[in-house]
Amino acid sequence: MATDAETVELLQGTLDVLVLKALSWGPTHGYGVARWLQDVTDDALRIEEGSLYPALHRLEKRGFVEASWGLSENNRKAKYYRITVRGRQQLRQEASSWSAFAAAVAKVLTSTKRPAWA
Amino acid sequence: MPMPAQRPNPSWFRYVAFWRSDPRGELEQELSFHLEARVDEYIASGLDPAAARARAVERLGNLARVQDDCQRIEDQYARRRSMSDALSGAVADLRHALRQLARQRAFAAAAIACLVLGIGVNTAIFSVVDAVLFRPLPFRDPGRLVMVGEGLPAISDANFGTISTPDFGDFATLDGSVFASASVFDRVSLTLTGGEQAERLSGLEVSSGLFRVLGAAPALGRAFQAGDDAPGSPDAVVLSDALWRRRFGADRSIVGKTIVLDGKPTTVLGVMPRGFTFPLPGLGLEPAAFFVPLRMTPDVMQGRGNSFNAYMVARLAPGVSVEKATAAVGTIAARLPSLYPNFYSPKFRVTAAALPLRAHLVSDVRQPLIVLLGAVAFVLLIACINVAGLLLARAAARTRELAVRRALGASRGRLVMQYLMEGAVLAVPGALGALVLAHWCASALSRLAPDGMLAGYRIGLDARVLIFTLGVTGLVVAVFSLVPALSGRSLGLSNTLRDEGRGTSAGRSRQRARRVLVASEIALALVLTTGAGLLARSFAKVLEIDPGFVPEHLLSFRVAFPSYRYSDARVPGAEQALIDSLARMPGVRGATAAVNLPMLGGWQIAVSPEGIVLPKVPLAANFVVFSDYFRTMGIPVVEGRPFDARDDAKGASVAIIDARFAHQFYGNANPIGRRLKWGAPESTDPWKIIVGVVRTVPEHALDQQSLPEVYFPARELAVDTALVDAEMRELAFVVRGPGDPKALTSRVRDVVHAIDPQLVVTRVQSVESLVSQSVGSRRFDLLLIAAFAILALLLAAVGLSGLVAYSVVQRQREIGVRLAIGATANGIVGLVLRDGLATAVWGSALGLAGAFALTRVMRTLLFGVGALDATTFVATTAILIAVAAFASWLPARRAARIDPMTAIREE
Repeated sequence: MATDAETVELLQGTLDVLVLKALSWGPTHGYGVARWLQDVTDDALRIEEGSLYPALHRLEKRGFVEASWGLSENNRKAKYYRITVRGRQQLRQEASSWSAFAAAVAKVLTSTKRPAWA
Repeated sequence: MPMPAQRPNPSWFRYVAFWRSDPRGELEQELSFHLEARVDEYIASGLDPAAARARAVERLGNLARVQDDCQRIEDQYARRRSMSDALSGAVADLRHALRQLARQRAFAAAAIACLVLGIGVNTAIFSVVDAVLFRPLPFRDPGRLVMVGEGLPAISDANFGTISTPDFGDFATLDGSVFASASVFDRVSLTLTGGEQAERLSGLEVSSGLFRVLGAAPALGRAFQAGDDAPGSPDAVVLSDALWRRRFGADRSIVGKTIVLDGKPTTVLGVMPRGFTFPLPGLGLEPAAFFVPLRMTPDVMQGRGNSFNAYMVARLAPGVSVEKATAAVGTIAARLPSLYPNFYSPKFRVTAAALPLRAHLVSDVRQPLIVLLGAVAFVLLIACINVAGLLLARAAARTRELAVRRALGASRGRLVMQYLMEGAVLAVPGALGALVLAHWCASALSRLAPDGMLAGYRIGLDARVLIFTLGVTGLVVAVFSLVPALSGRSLGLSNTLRDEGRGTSAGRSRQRARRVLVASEIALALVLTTGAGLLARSFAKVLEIDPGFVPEHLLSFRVAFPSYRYSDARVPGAEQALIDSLARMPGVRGATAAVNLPMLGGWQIAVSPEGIVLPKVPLAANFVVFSDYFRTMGIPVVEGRPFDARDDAKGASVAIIDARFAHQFYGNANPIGRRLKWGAPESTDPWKIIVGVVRTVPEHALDQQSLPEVYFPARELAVDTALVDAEMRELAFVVRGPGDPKALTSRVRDVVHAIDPQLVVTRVQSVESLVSQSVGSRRFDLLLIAAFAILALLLAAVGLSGLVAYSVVQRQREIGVRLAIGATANGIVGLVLRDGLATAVWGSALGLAGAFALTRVMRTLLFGVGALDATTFVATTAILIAVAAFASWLPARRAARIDPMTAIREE
């Protein structure tokens, strides 16, 4: 488990694309999304888990996910979210623009080219 | 029409809301599941339950914020949903409205017909009013154009509106300072020869700057430029589009060619474009067929201060106001007497003023046009009320539907929306139909308007008129949709449902609202009818006027004796010869000629009766006539004698005056033998002895007070000044025949051509038609207002009839009971009639009050009747009540035929 110093602040809007990615594996509830994010990032993104829910609701209203009530593995009533076709399109778009962005930032930070003023 | 299949209602989610649990509870459930799962996980990893719960809560974060965020998302979405809900609601309303109309075709047809009539006539009249009064005149930057007129306070306080041509040279010195450019023009008639037939055309003599002032460029060739009007410059002409098309077959190569005007080869410089009409009506000049240069020849310069016949139009320099221009021309005018003592008596003051061109043009037509616009607005209002009444009646039939919808929770806004949609569905075809009607009416109006009142104005449907129609339609929809919607509002829900359930008379308050509407319709119709009545009585009074001569059986026409064929010396002889030949025609009872005829206006001249001291030199209408004029025209000689063979250049100078002149200046004394003089007392003109007094004839029109009239014998004047000589070359000839004067036309032409085949006979017209034309604009106004009044009466009658018919249906059961217990059919008719007439009487009372207040705006249009003429008020009220009685009688008759048994059983 990472310490506070190692947690990464989430950029605005990033949560949505992470949620969509999580749901792209299959329908699950909010807790499932939180667990998956925790596992794949080794808990590096210590998301305040409550904030997943506004994100899920927003995505639902925008038609990227659908919600329905169901029973969890241990027979508790839980709300399941399923990604829609539009949600998958959205995910593809966001993912590619994220990769481009990340690559650009990485290029800057790893650049050895000295600027003209230095 | 087959019912369209019911579509799935897009607003289904409204009902879903009933069963959906509240979103806040759901969120709590979701979060608690999350928390419990996390707690289980921590316990499984070895934490004790209390610590596990604490960490899980910590990990979940600020729950209050989460709830707020979710709520905000929920709200946002709800807002968006209600908007799309409203939109789909509107679509549903539209579909509903269309279905309603398809089911009630008679209703729809009636309502749309009302709208087409109401909006159509309004659009037509607006298009005319807009073109004449509001839209910029069809010249470049027309707001900067002014007309300059001179005045002689010694003669009249009024500005003449015109100038003496030579004075233009003095005013033109302001060119470049006060005026950006200035020009002068005067009418001229010329004979065009060279085709199969010689033709007499009226055009304008213009200074070279006219087209620059107006900002008008020719379509072909060039307009005049500086120097074209210099004395001695080559003869040149600019053609109007109309003449170019009619006479020269729109020959594009005409520029540079030569045509023959008054015998002189004249070069065509250019052709004006199709839309260019000048002068516009309002100056009393007809649109010019051609334009020739106005040259300041010595002859013209001799006329300074003698005649004020020229029109000066100028464009104000940037930043110069009309007031400043008036001051500048006034200063120049004041210097004229000292500059030109030979022409202006030093005792005379000369004034001048600038007036915006538009004000100059519309001074006579503004009032009638505004009255017309007001009258059609009334028609529109009545049409609107009729449609509102129809909608109201229909709303009554649908009370139950609406009450149920309200009970089920439809918002008031939704119901109003539905009314608006139903209104719009009626208004769209109404407005389209109205545009077609307006287009047709506007072109008919510009053709029928008297004296080319509208010639040259661009009347028709353009963007401004479309916007007007759109605005009016929108207003109309709002009014007639909201009236029933609002009257429905006051209805208590449960009352309505109970009312309906019991089957008693439903919606009494709605019926009351409708009664108020119909009463106001009747009031409006009465105001309009009273206005029309006043105009009709005025017109009747005008027609009763004895013209003072006998216009029946008189034929008039004009013949010009152009200088290229007739030397000055030959003109009088040729004219007398023509008169003699005309008089010798078989059946002809008399023939004569004059420079001016009654109804067409005399020359306005200053006269000075000898031995009478007056504060101002009086103005008189001057007619220059040939012998036998009074006998041929049928003007009685009251005293003294008519002109005869003695009155030529060799005899003593003589004059004849009319009865008004005699009365005004000599009172009861005998004027025969007294002397008068043309001009001011100190003018050099010879004294003329009064030899006779004749009856007064109208100078301009039956309904206009004439100036005192004075007649001079033509044969004596023939050798007078150059100006008079030019005027004497074109005369109006008059022939008195035995029957229909028009039948003489071809024989008259033969007689003229026997004298000289090149003479042109123009303006052949019966004198009776001259008289009738003189009241043409009065007749035109009357016809329009009367048409609107009849339309208004019809619409109001339909409205009243509908109201009464509906109340008969409502009272069917009551009537049945009355019949069953012994009421007679006549009694029932009376009952229903009283019902309709009560509304009519209320409306009339309201209308009379309105008429009292409003007819005064037409005071200037009336003749011989006051704006509050009692006869008219009584007569129009009687007509209205009669129409109302008839409109109520139709449904009343039906009421009397009700079968009591059916009526009572029918529940």
